[in-house]
Amino acid sequence: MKKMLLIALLMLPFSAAAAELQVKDGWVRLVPPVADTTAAYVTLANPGDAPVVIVGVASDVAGMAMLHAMTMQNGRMEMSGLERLEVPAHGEVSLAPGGNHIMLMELKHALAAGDAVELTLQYGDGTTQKLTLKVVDARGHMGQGMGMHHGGN
Amino acid sequence: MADMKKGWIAALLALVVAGVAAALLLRPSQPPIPPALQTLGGDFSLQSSAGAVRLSDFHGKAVLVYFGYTHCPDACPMALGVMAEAMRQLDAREQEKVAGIFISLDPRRDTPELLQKYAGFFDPRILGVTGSSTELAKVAADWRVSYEVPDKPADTNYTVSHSTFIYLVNPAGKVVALFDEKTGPGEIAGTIRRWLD
Repeated sequence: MKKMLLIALLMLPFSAAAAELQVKDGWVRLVPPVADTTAAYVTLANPGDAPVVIVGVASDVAGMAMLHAMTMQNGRMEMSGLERLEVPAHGEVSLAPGGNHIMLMELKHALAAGDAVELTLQYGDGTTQKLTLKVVDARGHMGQGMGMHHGGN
Repeated sequence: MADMKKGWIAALLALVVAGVAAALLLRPSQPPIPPALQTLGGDFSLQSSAGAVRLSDFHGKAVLVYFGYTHCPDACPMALGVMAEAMRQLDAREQEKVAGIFISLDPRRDTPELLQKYAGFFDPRILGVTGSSTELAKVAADWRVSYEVPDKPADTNYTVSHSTFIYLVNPAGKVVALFDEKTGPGEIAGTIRRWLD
């Protein structure tokens, strides 16, 4: 028991120093099996006192993954890569349908509804965080994941 | 006395006929086409995996048309999902009178075969078509679709910016309403229904 407490105490400074975001409402869009591109959505909350900057994202299921911004320009939906995304201290950032999202390209195999997809977020301080998101069939749900909250998009 | 009775019956009949005629004329089922849409759209011929597809092939049906591309991770699957769900919300008789067309603006990567599998995943009634860049430019101009495919992309992961309208074409082949991927399927189904009588 004492030993465990010691280990826990030893680990404490590390976990406090590393950027750690809370993951809410994450999901990956089910796309046709022939598609090699999909999007992942998630709300990331930062309980810490310092902002956390996401500088990259990777996934085993995709040859290439990146943060994407979506904007309407001259009546066209434009997507562009986001170099960095800051989650403010005590704030949150929503990656949601119709807005910023994680783009998964060059899918290595077709994803099925219910599959677990592992993503690694890379932070500006050099640390990483793994998240596991489920593939959701959102056809006909206006792009929202089933059972997800519908507010704030 | 008998003549007067006949007169009443004739008058009643005339009222009923007038009432039915008025109901037919005034029914809300065939609303006017908004002026902004009256010069938009038109027939086209593009390639599907089963050969040429013309919009006029669907005369007598309500058609939902969407322009996009398969490497589009967000807006396009949302739009096709909404189109499919709107069709499913119609009753069996109405469902026989609807179709969908997904037009890819990215023929470099989207072959008719790939498009058919992609579009059919959302609903078998949605056909996937594309054409040469010249053909697509013409259709896009007619339908006032704004889009940009990079000329010389660095790799195959390029994105295509495009307008995101879902067009409703009435059984006479005219564009009568515009929606997008954020429109509720129920609203689209309701609008289709009004054009299906």
